[in-house]
Amino acid sequence: MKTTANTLGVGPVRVHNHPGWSMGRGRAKLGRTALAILALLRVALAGQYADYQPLAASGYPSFQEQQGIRLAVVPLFDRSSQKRYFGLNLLAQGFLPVYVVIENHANAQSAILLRDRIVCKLDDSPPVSQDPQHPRPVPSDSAQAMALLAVQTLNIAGMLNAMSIGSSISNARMNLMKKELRSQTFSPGKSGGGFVFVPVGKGGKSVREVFLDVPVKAGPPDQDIHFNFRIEMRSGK
Amino acid sequence: MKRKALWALFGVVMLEGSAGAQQSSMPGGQMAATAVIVLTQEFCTVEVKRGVWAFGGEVFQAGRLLCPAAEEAARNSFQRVIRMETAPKPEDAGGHLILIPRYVDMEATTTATLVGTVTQIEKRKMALLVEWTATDPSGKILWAQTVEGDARKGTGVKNISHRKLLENATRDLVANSTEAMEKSQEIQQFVKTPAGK
Repeated sequence: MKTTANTLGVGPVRVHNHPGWSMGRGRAKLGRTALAILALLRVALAGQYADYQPLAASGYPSFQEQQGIRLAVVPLFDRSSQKRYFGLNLLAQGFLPVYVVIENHANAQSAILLRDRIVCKLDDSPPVSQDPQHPRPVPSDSAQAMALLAVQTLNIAGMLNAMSIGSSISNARMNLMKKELRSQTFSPGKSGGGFVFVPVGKGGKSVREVFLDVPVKAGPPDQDIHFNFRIEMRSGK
Repeated sequence: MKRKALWALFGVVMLEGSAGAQQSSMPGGQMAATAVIVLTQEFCTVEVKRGVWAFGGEVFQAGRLLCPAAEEAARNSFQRVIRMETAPKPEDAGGHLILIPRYVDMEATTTATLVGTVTQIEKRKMALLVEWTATDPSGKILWAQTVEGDARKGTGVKNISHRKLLENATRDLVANSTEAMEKSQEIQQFVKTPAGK
């Protein structure tokens, strides 16, 4: 109980603190604190995306080895994985994220990966042969060859959807940039990797297969070793 | 052709002087070799637009800082540096290593970040990517590396401008590029050969 000055000036007025009222204020305070913590947690989580932890190249079904250089590609169709690593469903925006793992197991030669030389081909032609014994190793003539798009050219309109999942566009774009595959040299014993974003069109429904040609320079002689991969499209779950 | 050779000679004389000055700041870090750095007009005038003008979009004059930064990284790594605007023909390269920097990408976050329906204020971040390629005089690629420069700044009103942020990211890029060149086994091997010296 406390006394306060009466505005009418007729003497002190006794104000009783009702126990229930006091508890209500406490609850409200607690609620506000919880909300603040929740908001801070969301801030802390915003712009923080999980890092993709790749296995050794040989751990993937797509694994290939040439002249001691090992490569594997890992397409991410799964919607939840895409949200985890990029904060948005890239496939719905028309891009299939594919992780490229590279390891140099050669004794002496370095391997040079130039990102801009990677070529993808999309096959949207109707199936010709369904014989599993003779899968087509190369795309049909109707397949379109194109260089991969860099993150900077990814569709910004699609990125706007990132806002609805609680992240700013710039944070989402920076995350994509940091995870993208980069041109680099792998000295013997070195390994690395990164994502390439294959433009498959919105939803990727019309594309049946994606062919990736990843050239690696390893010398001498200074020739490109081509690693060709065929990725069968699946709808994201 | 004569004119080109004269410019190259002029470049050697001018840059050898400045390389000497650099040596004092980075003792023992330089490779005893000459490198040609190709700084194209395109690289030196790179402009990056981010965001939409109506919502605080910005234009970053990245090339203005990237151009001298790339040259600084080369000077930090090599005793002698020749600057050229276009890649030299094999007969004009003088047997030297040729370094070509290329702008890849840049991204900067904003201080105001939309989290759900709430706008939050946080530090601005910037990341800058430059791809370095080193070739021998014949044009054969010996080494390639994408180098990142990062910067982070406070949330105050004075930090809203991106200029200082870009300067800091470029400074980081110089340090990382220098380190990448000095650690490159492929460059080290080339400069050890008689042609590389």
